[in-house]
This record gives sequence, structure tokens and C-alpha cells, in this order.
Amino acid sequence: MNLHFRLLALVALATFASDAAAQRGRARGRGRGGAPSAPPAAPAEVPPPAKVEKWTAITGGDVHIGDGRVLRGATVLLGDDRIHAVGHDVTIPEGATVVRADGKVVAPGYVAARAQGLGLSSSVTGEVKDAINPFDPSIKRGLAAGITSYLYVSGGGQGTPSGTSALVKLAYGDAKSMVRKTACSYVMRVPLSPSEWARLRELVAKAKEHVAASEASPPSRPTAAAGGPPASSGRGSFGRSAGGGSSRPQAPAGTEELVRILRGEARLWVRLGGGGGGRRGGGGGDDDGADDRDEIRQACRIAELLGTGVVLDDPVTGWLLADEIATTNSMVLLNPRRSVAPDPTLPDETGSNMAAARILQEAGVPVAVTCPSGRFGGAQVGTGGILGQDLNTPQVDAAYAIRGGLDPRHALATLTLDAARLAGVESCVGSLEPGKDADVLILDGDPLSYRTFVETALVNGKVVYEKAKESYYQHIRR
Amino acid sequence: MTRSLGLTVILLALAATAATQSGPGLAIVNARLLPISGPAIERGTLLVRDGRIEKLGADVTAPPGYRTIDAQGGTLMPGVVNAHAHTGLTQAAAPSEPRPNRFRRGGRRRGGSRGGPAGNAENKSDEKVLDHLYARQDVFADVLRDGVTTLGLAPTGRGLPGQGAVVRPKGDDVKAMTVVESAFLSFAPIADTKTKDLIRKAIEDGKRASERRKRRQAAKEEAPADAGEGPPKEKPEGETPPPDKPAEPGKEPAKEAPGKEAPAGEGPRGRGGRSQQEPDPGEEAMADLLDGKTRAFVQLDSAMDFAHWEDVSQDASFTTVVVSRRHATSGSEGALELVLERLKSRKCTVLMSPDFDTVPNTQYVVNLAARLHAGGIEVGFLLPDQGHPLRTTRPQLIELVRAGLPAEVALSGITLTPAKALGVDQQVGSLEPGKAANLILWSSDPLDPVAQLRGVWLEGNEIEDDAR
Amino acid sequence: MNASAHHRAAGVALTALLAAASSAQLELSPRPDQAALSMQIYYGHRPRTEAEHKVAVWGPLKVPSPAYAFRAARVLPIDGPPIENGVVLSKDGDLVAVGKATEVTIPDGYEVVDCGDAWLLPGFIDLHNHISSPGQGDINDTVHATNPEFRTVDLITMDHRAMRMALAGGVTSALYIPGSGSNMGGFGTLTKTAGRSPEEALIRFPGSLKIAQAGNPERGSGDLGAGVIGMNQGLRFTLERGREYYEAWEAFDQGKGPKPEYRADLHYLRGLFRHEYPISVHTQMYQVVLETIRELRLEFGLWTFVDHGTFDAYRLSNVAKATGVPIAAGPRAYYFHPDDATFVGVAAGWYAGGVHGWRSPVEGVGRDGIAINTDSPVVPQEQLQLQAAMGVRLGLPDEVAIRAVTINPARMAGIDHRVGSLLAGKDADLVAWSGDPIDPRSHVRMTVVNGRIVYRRNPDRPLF
Repeated sequence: MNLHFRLLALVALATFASDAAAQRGRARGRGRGGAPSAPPAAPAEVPPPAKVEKWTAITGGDVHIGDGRVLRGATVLLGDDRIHAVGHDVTIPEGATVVRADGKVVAPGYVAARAQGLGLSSSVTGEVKDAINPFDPSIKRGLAAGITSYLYVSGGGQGTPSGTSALVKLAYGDAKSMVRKTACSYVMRVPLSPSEWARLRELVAKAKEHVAASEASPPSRPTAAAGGPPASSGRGSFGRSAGGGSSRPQAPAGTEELVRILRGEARLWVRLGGGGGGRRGGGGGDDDGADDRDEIRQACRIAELLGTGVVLDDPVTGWLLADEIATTNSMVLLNPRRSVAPDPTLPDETGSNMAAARILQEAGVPVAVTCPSGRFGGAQVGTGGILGQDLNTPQVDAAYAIRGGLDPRHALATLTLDAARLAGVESCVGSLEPGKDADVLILDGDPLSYRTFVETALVNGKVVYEKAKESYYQHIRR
Repeated sequence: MTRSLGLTVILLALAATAATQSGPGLAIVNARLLPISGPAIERGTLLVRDGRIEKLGADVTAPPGYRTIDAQGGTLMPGVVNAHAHTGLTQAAAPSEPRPNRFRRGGRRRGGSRGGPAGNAENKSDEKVLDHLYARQDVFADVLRDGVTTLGLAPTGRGLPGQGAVVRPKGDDVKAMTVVESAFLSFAPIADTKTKDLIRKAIEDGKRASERRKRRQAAKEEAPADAGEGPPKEKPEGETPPPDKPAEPGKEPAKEAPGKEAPAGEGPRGRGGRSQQEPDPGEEAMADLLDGKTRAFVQLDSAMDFAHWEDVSQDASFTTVVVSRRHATSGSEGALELVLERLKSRKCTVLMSPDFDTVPNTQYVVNLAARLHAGGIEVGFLLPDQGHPLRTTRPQLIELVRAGLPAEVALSGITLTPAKALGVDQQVGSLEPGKAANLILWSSDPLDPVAQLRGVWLEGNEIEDDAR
Repeated sequence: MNASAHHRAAGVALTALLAAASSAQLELSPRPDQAALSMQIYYGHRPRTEAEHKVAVWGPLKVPSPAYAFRAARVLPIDGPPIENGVVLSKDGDLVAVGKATEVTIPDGYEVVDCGDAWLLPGFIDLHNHISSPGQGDINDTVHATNPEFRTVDLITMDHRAMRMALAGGVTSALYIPGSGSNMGGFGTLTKTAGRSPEEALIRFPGSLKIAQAGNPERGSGDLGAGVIGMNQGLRFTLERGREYYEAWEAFDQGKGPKPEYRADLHYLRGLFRHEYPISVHTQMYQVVLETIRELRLEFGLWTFVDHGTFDAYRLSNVAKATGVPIAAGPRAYYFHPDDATFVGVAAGWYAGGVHGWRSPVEGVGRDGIAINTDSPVVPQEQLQLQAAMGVRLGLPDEVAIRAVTINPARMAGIDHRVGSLLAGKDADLVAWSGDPIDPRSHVRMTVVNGRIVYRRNPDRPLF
């Protein structure tokens, strides 16, 4: 009896706290396309670049910035591993390496929000940087597909956020600069049981208390969190460790992930469908998971509780709840061509909608696209032969979003800027903007055409893939 | 009386036998000599005395009293050095070879655990492989009969499995077998935070131990009066005797490991509980490595492995010998060739299994040994631990040579190069006066596919083999 | 009444239903104008008209439908040059006229359907799918080592989701075949993807005999033939019995022998030897495809096409061309070549031929010898267009890719007198595309099957 009473009080307290935070979140407003108020933009935090050692200028191409803008015949100037300037009147410093891209398309490298392989096994124990295989041939194939970075995630909890994550750059052969950020995403599953909800509320309340306390006495913010240059850290090891600076007070046990999420240093990915029951990929006639509205609503409630948007991992009926998702500043990863028949036993609408990407984006929800999962596809840059069903052709997934009605001008963002937003890494990748990482593609045509190939890929300012020099697609000439 | 006379005769006979071994010695005539350290001598004579090579050349003649063996035009070369073996070890079972996947050439081999003893990485840098050795085992006779006259015995395990030794595959006890008690420190790193942290910490500990050592040394030099017994005469491992004063292979006592004064492997590694004065033998072994007294034998099969090794060993400067038994199945982690420049700048010797590689996802065969050699890397070869090491390896070497590896590199790769890697190249590995008379005689060139093994000598003693 | 008699009764019922319709005297391929094709498909001595078929059952002609005049910015008839501002007339299930808007007069009584800036094309044809399978799977029943007694015609249901998705993907004709559980999985059915009943949707049964050589049936071909060597012999054994049965019936028909006893397990093999329909052979890899051509096409003289044709089998393009065996490639679009780690386009390889390692240059099958399939549900039925797009990505010319999902599969299956191009007299199977029909960004606005509009895209909730 007594225990029950206490529990109620806790729940009430947590609800109150969450409302306050949610309101603060809303007050801060949403950016373009309802971008959540998460990580602060990069340039303000990037220390002024030290002397640039190597300039690279990509000239003459039609430059897709990644947010919908296209500059015809513009120059992209890279200073070492960063984008220095983009525009028509960029002065090219003396001694710069000039890469001519006349008649070509220049685009930001694609950010794969869901990928497997690419230098890491599916379950890394310990730190990602200590397990990376910089020579994995699938990295080259990923670059051939236009992918220059991806969100690595393994693990994930049922009732609370957990898991190992990293923004992995496909800097082939250069282990030191492959892990760009760590602990930038956590994963949890819904639906939650009542007791899991109680536990989550309790932890969120604790985490918020901690954040509020530490904000009252602001510690010196470590620059690494915003993504300093990929230099080695104190221990002289690959990459950098998680953003949490040592000057900060320790978060209460069990709330480390929540504290990072609340501070906007990490994203929360919500997987729908709990036990992972029979979500088959691909084919028509599949009405499994036709109705995931309850899971989506639970995810939205978690976003409200946190006061910060979450990422919904491939919801089927997200298009029915677009406004609810938008209100909570949440985002959606979508496989646009996944066709799920409505549940015939239900009176109201269920099932997938090919127009989901358009509906969600129009409601202000950032949408990134991913490829089908399952036996013949999957989030790998495979060699199995069934093309168009895996990560070998990311543009096909964006193409299907367009087929469903998404404005083609916003479609590239589903592979670049919005994909980076979902991964919580838009401060360093996802668009060709000064200060961001020099991850650039030179393409032989429209980025979203099924026939377009990557001619050159640069990661961290270095050429890591050239179609003409690698075996994979060298023989295909038009 | 008669009885006593008989006994005398027997004693005399024994003395005579001994005389032929340690006295005037042995002359192998009419041989094609492959010194490895120099050009072949087409028709020459090699003299053995007191277990060592006394002299060799085309114009050398057998002095009177020498037992003469006619090589009948056969080829004489130094005995084989297998620098990284687990032969006869009673430690945990030797690592099992990965099963090649018939369908996925060059496919990923890593499935969470690399071969080798299961379990977690451990720091056993205080452990000596010799502590796990039992002398009287048939396997030593087996490999010796096949031509392996020097073994680098390596501990098995993950992380820092311990200190390796150099032994001769013959002797009644461990002491008699021992050539160098602590020749190298083994590393078996894998791409995993725990293991990498373990190695990082060990190196840091070693650095501190080395600093302490230097401070002690400096203190003693500042106050020599205080040091009644004088500074301890350290006979560093791996440091070879000067050529003018060759080591005595037959009688040489087991060298003392620098950290030997401390009890080895006592109980759990409670470093915190150890007193300040009492040096930790594991840390001391690491300090020896950092001070250049021994070397690191690091098991690396791919460019990926090397990248992670560099990550943990970045600013530590010590001699690194890359031991690569499974390079052929590590294709998707990048061939060692991809880090050639780094290997070169760190002056790494690569000891590898004599296999061909395939480019990942393809059937392109690559002669990694030839490519590393062409790139300026010193390449040696690893032989099987047991069975017929040379009989198994020779056809593989012949194939590598056929595919472009210079013949002299193949032969040096099983003799002088591994001897250098072990730091025993002043004692073994080539036919040079003063070195141990470890010899093998072939019916023709050792890389001739039909060549037959005619004889094996360990320190001047011919090894019997009924099968020959 | 024994089982075989019952079986025969079922066949008779279906035949009776369609009797009125299948009296067509349309001349079947090869037609005189096909002499210029890049390759001549080998049809054996197939009957000249539908009416001369004794075993195969043809679906209805002249299915009642309204009279429509479809206008579109661009019409691609396939068997003719593209038409800007075109008109397509249809009535009673058939195409009445195809031409420029300025040249075709729209008769009275025709409802004008303005497709605006759409591209109007014949409906796509997929020669390898499992479009009406319960549970969306292949049908891999394996009772015997070979199962010529199986047939998919009994499984077709028009409201299967894959059928509806097919319409949204522009696929109007499908060869629904059994899986590759055994060497001989049974007989497939050529069906439209829309119709008021399976009987109305039927194009031809059997559509083909499904044979699976190496690459799948190893998993359960019974005692005989769990390996390639035994499987080849198992096929030969069954086909020889089929040929004896066929010959006995031929003798009877010519008055040279007694009436043979009806055999349900051999009945459709008789039609196979009458060359009324082809064998679609699940076959892949150089050696296996070579064996396919050698055994089925050359030894038994059967009308054969290669289904899959994946891995390095494209190196046989010259052999396929010389023997008249065309290719339905897919669902794999490429072969990751182990010699040099290249993504080799399977369809492009068959089409163009080339130099393949140790060989001297070989000729390709050309623009008429290649079709592309989905093997749905391996690739979802609605994504046949994507399969063609991936063919183009890896080197197939656009024009060939469009033919590979329209007229080429129609010719390979022997139904090009009904479907596969926009030609007056053929079935009115039309698809209005929002743009380039090979680009996945384009969508289907409207699908017409047998002259009836069976799919219109709802922009708020498009199926695909």
C-alpha cells in the first residue's frame, strides 16, 4: 500500500518534470523541417582552424549542398579534413590541389543511418575504435555506393536506452580517423510495460535533476563533444572517447545515457515492436506489423517525457500519426517501398503508405531512408547479386520516397542532412557547409538516378575511392 | 686381471669415440656449400671441430685425423631455425588453425574469438615458456631428424602470453636444451578494447620499471663507494658474444634472465601488494624489451592487426618481429602489404607461414612473401610445430620461389633470418666459422623438388634417422 | 473413378469453360516480320495456331470491356517507333488502333481517357514469379524426385496482394511457376494479374514446365539425384517417359496405335513434346546452363528458355543464341566476379557477349534474347521495373531493358500474339507511367488489363 502510494507520487513528479521540459523544448522552436533542438550547430564551437596544410578545390561541378540547395558550376574548397568554403566566388589558395568536376555533380557523402559490416562486426565488445577493420573491402564498396559515414549501433535495451554507437567514417586504411563520434545514439524498444514506464519515469526524473544541477554550475564544455579535428586523444589512441568531459560530475547510476540524450549529445532510437516479432522485409501481402500505432504513440510519449525528439525506426503507420510525431520533435527512419497491407480485422486505417515520406516531411518530421531488411537485402554493401535491395544503391531508397510523392528537391536530404540529424551527427556531416567534415562525392549524374555512379569519394579531405581505379564498376562506361 | 683389462679396453674405446667428436673433428668433403651468409661454394669442404664450424671453402682440405664424410656432390646448408613454435609445450594446446572456408575465399575469419586458447587476454609477461617445457619428448627428435636444429619456443595465449626461449631440440633436461632462456616477449593482440588496454598498461608499467632501473643505475654511479659489491653484471638477453669470442653452443650455460632474481609467477598478480624494492618480473621483462635487451614477437596477420598494434605500441621503440601464421585467411582485414611503409619504418621482420594469399573476394593469388621482400622487408618463414616441419614446408617454399620469391630469400628465410629475429645469428643460421655445426645435407639443391635429405648434424653430432 | 480420371475431369471443366474463347486462329510466332530479330528463338514444331493446341488451354480472347480512347503525351508501342501525342483505342479486351492523335480518329462510343503527360506502354511481363502462392513463398513440394504432376493453375486467386501490387508496379502478365524444391517442380501458369476470375485472367496453361537444375533442388530431390549428376539423369528419365507417352498419343492420333491410357503425371509432358509450351529452367552457372542447353534443348529438342542465368552463365551467350535458347535473367542483377572483384551485369553480359577471361570474344544474344524477372517474392512483384533499372545501371541499354520486360518475355513464352507490345489485335494491357518507365522515381498512374482499367493510383495513398 505504502509502496504503491510512493510509486504514484514518483510518477506524478516525473510527469510534471517532463511537461516543463517539453514546454522548454517547444519554446526553443523548430528549425527547417522541424529539426529538433538537439545538438548545437558546429561552427560556433569549432576552434578556429590551425594553419591549413593541404587545400583541395573541387571546381566546376553542380554542387548539391545537401539541404536542397544546388549551386551550378560552383567550387568546394577543402582545407585539410574540413570544408572551408562553398560558392561561386571562392578564392583558391596557391598550391591547392584542383579537382575538376565540370559537367559532374558534387554532393555531400551519404550518411547511412542503418548499416552493417563496413569495418565492424555486428557486436563489438568494448570500444568501437578498438575493433575497427580499416581494410575491410566492404568499406570500398560502401564508398562506391556513396556512403562516407554511417551510424554504428549495437545492442539496445528494452525499458531504458542503451547500446554502443559511433559515427564511423569510411576513411579506408586510416584507423585513426574512422571513429568520429561515439555514444551519439542509444536504442530502446517499445512497447513498455507499466512497470517499465514507472522505472523510465524515475530514471528520467533523476537524469533531469542531474542536468539541472550541472547547468547551475556550468563546467567547461569539452570541445571534443562538438567534434574537434580527428586528432588523437590523450592516450594516443584511435579517435576520441565519448563527449563527456572529466570535469563534469558523474551522472547517477543508470542515467548516463539519459543525461546525454537530455543534453542533446545523443539521440534516442526507438525500435517498434518489442520482441521483434516477425517483421519480414520486402514483399507485398505482408500484413505483419500492419498496426504499430500504439508503439509509435509510446515513442512519442517517451519524447514528451524527455522533452527532446526521438528517432522512430521504420514505423509502418507513421504517416497516420505524422502530426503527433512532429509535435514531439521526433524523426523517422523509413524504408519507403516497404509494403504492409492493412490489418483486415480493424475498422480504421492501418498498414503502410507509399506516400509516408512526403506526408511526414510535410508535417515537419525529418525523414531519412533505408534499404529493405531481410534475407535478400539488408543493411549491407553485399556482393550477393540482388542489386537494388541493399546498401549498394542508396539512391534507390530515396527514389522510392520521390515515387511516393516526396519533393525531389528534398529527397537528397533523406540520404544526407536529415540522415545525419537522425544519427545526431549533423554538426559534422550531412551537408557541404563550411566547418563540416570534408566528405564529398563527385558523381557522373543526378544523385538520385538509378544510373548514377560515384566517380570519386573523399573522406576527411582525402580521396578514398575512384571508380576508374577500383575494380568494382570500372568496366561500366557510358 | 683379465676382467680389469677388458674394462680398460672399453674405457679406451669410449675415449676414442669421444675424441672423434671433440678432438680432431669432422670433414665433410665434396659438397656444394650454401653458407646463406655468402655465395654458394660449388665444390668445397667444411670442417667441424668441438661442435662448431671450424673452416669452410673450396680450397680447404681435411686435416689428418679428421673423420671424412663424402657428400658426393650434395648440398650442405645450415640447420633450419623455426623461430616461433609451440613444439612440445605442455601449456594449453597450441592454437588450432582456422578451417579454410571453401566458399568464401578471403572471407572474414573473425567470429569473436581468434584461434588459440579460449578465454580472456592475460598479462603473463612474467611467465617463461621454459617453465612449461618437458625435455624428453619424441617430438623434439622428430623435428630434429627433419632438419630443424633451432627452435624459438613461444608461449600460447592472448594478450601477453609470456617470454619465449631459444632451444635446441635435444637434451636430457630443459637446461641442456636451453640456448637463450628469455629471447623475446610474446604479444598476441586482437582488436578488442580489453586486450588493447591490457597491452597498453603493460607497456606503461614497463616504462616505469625502465625509469626506475635508470634511476637506480644513476644513483649507483653517483655513489660508487656505497656499492660494496659493485653494479650487478647484467648479461643482457639477445646480446650476442663478440665474433672473436664465440659462444660455446655445446656447453654454454643457460643465460640468466635479467629479472631472474625475483621469484617468477608467484600467485596471483597482486602488484599493489608487492613492496617497492621488489621488482615485478613481468614489468622487468617489459623493461628489458623497452631497453632493447629483448625483442617483441607480435602475432599479426593483417594490416588491420598491425594498425591496432601500432595503436597500442605507438611511442614505444623496440624491435618488433611480426609473426603471421594466418595471413592467408585474413584477406578481408587487409594484407600486411598494405602497411608496408609502416612495417619498414619500424624495421619489422616478418616471419610468416609460407602460404599464398588471395585478394579478398577474388581468386587472385598473391605471393605476399615476394611482395614484402620486394618492398624491403626482411621475410622469414614459420614451419609446423611437429610432424615433418621441413618436409611439409619445402614444397611450399618451392612454390613461392616459382612464383617470384628469390631462392636465397626462401633459404635464408628458414635459417639466417629467423636466427636474426631471435637474436642468435651469431651462433646459428649460417655456415660461418665459429658458429654451431648445425648442418643439413641434401642430395641436390634444397629447392629441387626431388632433393632428398641425406644428413642432419646438431652441433657436430650426426642425427640418426632409420628412414633415410 | 480413379485419381487420374478425376484429374482429367478437372481439366475438361476448365477447357469447357474456355471453349468458346480458344477458337482463335491467330498465327503464332515466328512471324514473317521476325526474320530481322537479333536471335531466333527455337520453338520446335509448335502448333501454328492456338486452336491446334491439344494439351495447352488458352485463356479467353475478346474479354468484354468498355471502348476507350487513351491519349498520352508519349506512346511506346515497343514493336514500332515511339509516338508523341498518341492515341490507343481499345474495345472488348483488344487493342483496336495505336497511332498519332492526328492520325487516329476516335470513333463514336469511345470514352476518352486523357493520360496527360504520361508515357503509355504495354503492361510488363514477368516470366518468373510465385505471384499467387499461399504465404508468399515458393511452392517447393517434393513428393518425388521429379514432380511433373504438379501445377500452379489451381492456386490462383485474383485478390492475392501480390496481384494487386503487380498492377501498381505495371506488371500485367505473369508466369507463375512452382519453386525449385525438386528437379521438376511442376507446370506453371501464364496469367494476367487482373481479371474477374482466374479463368478470365488465364493466358495459357501450362505456361511452362518448371525444371530446376543445380542450385536449389539439391536440398530435397529424394533418393535419386541429390547431386548434380543424379539430377540430370533423373530429369532424363522422366522426360523419356514423357516422350514415350507423347509418341503413343501421336501414333493413336495418326491411327497407328491403340488409345493410350490417360496418365495424369505424363499428360502435360505430352504437350511439352508437342512444343505447345516451353520449359523454364531454373539454371545458373556456366556448367549447369551448358547442361541445360545440351540435355533439354539439343538432346530432347524441347522449346526451352533459361530462367535466372546468373553467376558466370552469361559466358554462354553465343551458345544460347546459336541454339535459340533465350534468357529470363534475375533476380540477381550482377555476378560479383571472383577473378577480379567486378560487378558484372548479368543481363548486360548475356546481351552483349564479350571476352570472358580465357575465351575468345563471344557474341551476345542481342536485344531480343533477354528478359528480366523478379522471382517474386525474392524481389517484390511490384519492383520488376527496378530489376530492369538495375540491368541498365550495369550496362544494359535502356531500349533493351524495356524490351526485356515486354515483348521479349512474350516471345520467349510464345504469347507475343496476345501481349508484349501495342499492336492492333493484341490484348489491351496498358500502363500509364508518370515518366521514364525504367526509372524507379516514375510511378504507375493507371493500369489496364484486357481493356478494363484495373488500377488507378491514389496519390494520397499509392499502393506503390
